[in-house]
Amino acid sequence: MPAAVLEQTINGLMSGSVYVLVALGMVLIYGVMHVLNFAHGVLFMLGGYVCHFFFTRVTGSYALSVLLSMGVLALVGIALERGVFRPLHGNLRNQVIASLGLILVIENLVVAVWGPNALQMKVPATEQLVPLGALRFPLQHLLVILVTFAVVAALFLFLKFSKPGTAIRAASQDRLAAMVVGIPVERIDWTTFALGTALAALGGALIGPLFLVFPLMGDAPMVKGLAGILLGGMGSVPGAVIGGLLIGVVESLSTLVLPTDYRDSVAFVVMVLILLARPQGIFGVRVRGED
Amino acid sequence: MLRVLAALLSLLPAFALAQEKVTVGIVTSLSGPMAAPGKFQMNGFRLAEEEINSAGGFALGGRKYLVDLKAYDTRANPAEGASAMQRLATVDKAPVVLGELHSGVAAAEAPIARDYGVPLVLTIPTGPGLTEQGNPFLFRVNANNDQLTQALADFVARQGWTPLAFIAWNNDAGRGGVNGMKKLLGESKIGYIGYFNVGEVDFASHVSNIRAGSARAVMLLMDEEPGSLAIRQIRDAGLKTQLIGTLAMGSDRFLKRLDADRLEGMVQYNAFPPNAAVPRIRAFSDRYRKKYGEEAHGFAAQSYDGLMLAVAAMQRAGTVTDGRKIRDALAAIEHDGVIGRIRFDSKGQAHPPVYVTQWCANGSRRILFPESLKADCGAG
Amino acid sequence: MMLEIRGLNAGYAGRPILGNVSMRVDAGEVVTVIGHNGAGKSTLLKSVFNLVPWREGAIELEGRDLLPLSPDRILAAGIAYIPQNRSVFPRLTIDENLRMGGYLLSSAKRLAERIDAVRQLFPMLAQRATQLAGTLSGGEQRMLELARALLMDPKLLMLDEPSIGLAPKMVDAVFNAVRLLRDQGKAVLMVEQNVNKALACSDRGYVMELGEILLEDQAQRLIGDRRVAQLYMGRR
Repeated sequence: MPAAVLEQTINGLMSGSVYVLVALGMVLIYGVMHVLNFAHGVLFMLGGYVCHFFFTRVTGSYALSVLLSMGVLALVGIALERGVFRPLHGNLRNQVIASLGLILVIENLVVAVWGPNALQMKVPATEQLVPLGALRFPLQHLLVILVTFAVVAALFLFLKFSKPGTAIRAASQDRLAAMVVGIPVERIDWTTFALGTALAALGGALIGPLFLVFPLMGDAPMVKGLAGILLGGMGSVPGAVIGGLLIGVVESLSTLVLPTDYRDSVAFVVMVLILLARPQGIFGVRVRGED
Repeated sequence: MLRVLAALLSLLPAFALAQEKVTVGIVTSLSGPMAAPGKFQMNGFRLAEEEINSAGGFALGGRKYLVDLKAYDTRANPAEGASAMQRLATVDKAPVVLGELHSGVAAAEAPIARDYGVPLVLTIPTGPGLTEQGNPFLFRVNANNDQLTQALADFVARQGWTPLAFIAWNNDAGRGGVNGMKKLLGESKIGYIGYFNVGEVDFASHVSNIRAGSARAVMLLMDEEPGSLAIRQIRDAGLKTQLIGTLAMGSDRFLKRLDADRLEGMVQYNAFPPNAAVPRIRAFSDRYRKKYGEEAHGFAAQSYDGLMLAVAAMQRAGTVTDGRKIRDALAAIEHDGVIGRIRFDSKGQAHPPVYVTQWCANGSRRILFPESLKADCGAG
Repeated sequence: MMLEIRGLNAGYAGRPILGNVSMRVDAGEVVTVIGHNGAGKSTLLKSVFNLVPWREGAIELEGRDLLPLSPDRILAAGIAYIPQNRSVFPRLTIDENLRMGGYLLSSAKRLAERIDAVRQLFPMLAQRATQLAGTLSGGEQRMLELARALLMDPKLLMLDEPSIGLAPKMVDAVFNAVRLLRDQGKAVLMVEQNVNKALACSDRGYVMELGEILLEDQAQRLIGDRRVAQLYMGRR
């Protein structure tokens, strides 16, 4: 049985890593702009397609294609911030409606360009198997976890110690105060959007070789990522990481004792239970209790 | 000069408009989660349409009729299916409707077919309940899950591949297939059962549970895309268990998604082994490859037969407008199709042969069942 | 002349708040604007810092036109602004708050120098560098805001109700800090409800009502003015 527990923990860390990449982008954008971008899942999916395009059509290098996909999606993020979210600044309802509309637009666009069928990305790391005791995992499986951990660590260092990172935190805590100290908040807005969409693209590009690239590939990560954010505490970056990983591991381990078709429900039951005990989430700060 | 002009005109579709046309309704998935099998379905219909029309149409009462397919995208969505069926019956005035892939959508379309007296000929959905509703306007060309599982259960029992584990779609087709096998093999011969939802791609939990269990074989009740992912994940995790697949997994196309190493030894039931040494199958496979540049597929063959059958029924009924007469003709018809002899029972269900094929080490397939057609690598 | 405002109309589209306001702040001078709630005092400061959507007229700093400048450029030009509501970054440390105050400084060396200089004025901030700003008392947060505003070494500080919501002891500390700023050679333009104490540390004052300047005089003379005393100091 321990082998099964280890196996499911690693599986959970892998799916959890993907949730974390989606959640991080959403939570950063939410922090700075107070927008819940529901289109984040389709941006994740678009990242997978763009990576597939670069990998199969332009360069044979997967690593390069991942980076290019992040770059392209960062530009898409900037365009969305400029063209859609900034003009609606301060109107939360319209921003939510716009982000829901974006889902339809991007999904249909992808189907129009690449067709409705799932695409395959045959990268070397999916063919290479790594033995772990009695178990075996495709290298790509472990790469997803490692790359996510590295990116999370880099993001923490960036937010904690760099000047632009501190400015992102500052702007998300008090936008007026940020303007008062001379932080160009609009530049922070689009930088954060670019960072968030690039992280989503990374998620899509990492998972594509394992699970195919298809129009609905971002749906589950988006919903689970959102659950991770709520679990970790709305607006908290460490919360998004812990929340996302927790959802991934708990739903994986649950399949050892419960039928697998309950897996999705398990994640949400856990979320609801934790939020009942701690409404602000694991790392959440009480908004009114701040002063 | 005039002759050249006339020759040019004859190439234009506009010229064909001068002939009489019969609008045949098609419900299929051009987009959405079932778009991939939907393409095989359309390929089958288009091939039949082309063959009929290039021969100048089909003869009926001394006239020739061209077939004009009017296809609606039902996107695996019952509401879309119902509205498409309604449109075909009322706006497009199709005397007969063919197709559908999704059993749930077909269930939504069937009552409308009955209400408007338009026969609906299914060519792919396998949910056994569909032909148990007593709907006289519903016909099914392909074998349903009960028929497929019956053939497979016999085969599995003979091979001694029990306990049998499952990874199955959490829908009518998946649950129906599992329950059917349970009934046929007996509860004690069934191992782990894992269901997954459409769109799910991570089968790791199932792999782990199968490894922990004692199953001798795993049956994958799913379509091509999840199938390729499940097999990859099972083999990559080092599981050597015998794999049993559906008819979506016995094609060259499927091989391209994976590789011969991961597939070797896997068996699947099949309605249509494209390389079998049977003349009608060979002929169809050749025509299909010529038009589409790829190996023929069972879904295409079933759909091709469906359209040919509908045309034969119209000829027999002597009408291209009266759905009720066409229904009566269908109920009585006996048609030699590509997939075999098609005759509908009192419930509207045909009984085509079911095959079991197996992947060889070199990426070809052999036929294991039925015994009479047993043939080695390259024949399946 | 440090800051000069001439014929300023400002407010929101379809809702003008300031009407034809003209005023000035000279170098090294502390100027207080008094008036009832809703008189437009806060809007005046926000207009100078380009935080109000609609403005007409002239705002100049040492002869330089400020109207086209964004807030960060105005800060770089030499005006710091402390809004009325708390504006520390609650989940950044004191140190990080200070460093954000110097966001526009590109030289790390210059930033370190400025932080040192500010810490000498407010020693408490050096001792508690890694404490989260949100855990400070209200008065301490005000001090941090003042210190942070000094990071860019501004020529003019604009303070919106610096003493509001503070304990009496901290109110005195805030006005002492204003005196300290003047001793450093800074000009100060502040808006205050605590008219007595504000005028006591000011050179000049303006009285504003309904978006217009009613009166301008030496701070001492305003303290002695009967009407001012009646209207704003609750004295009869």
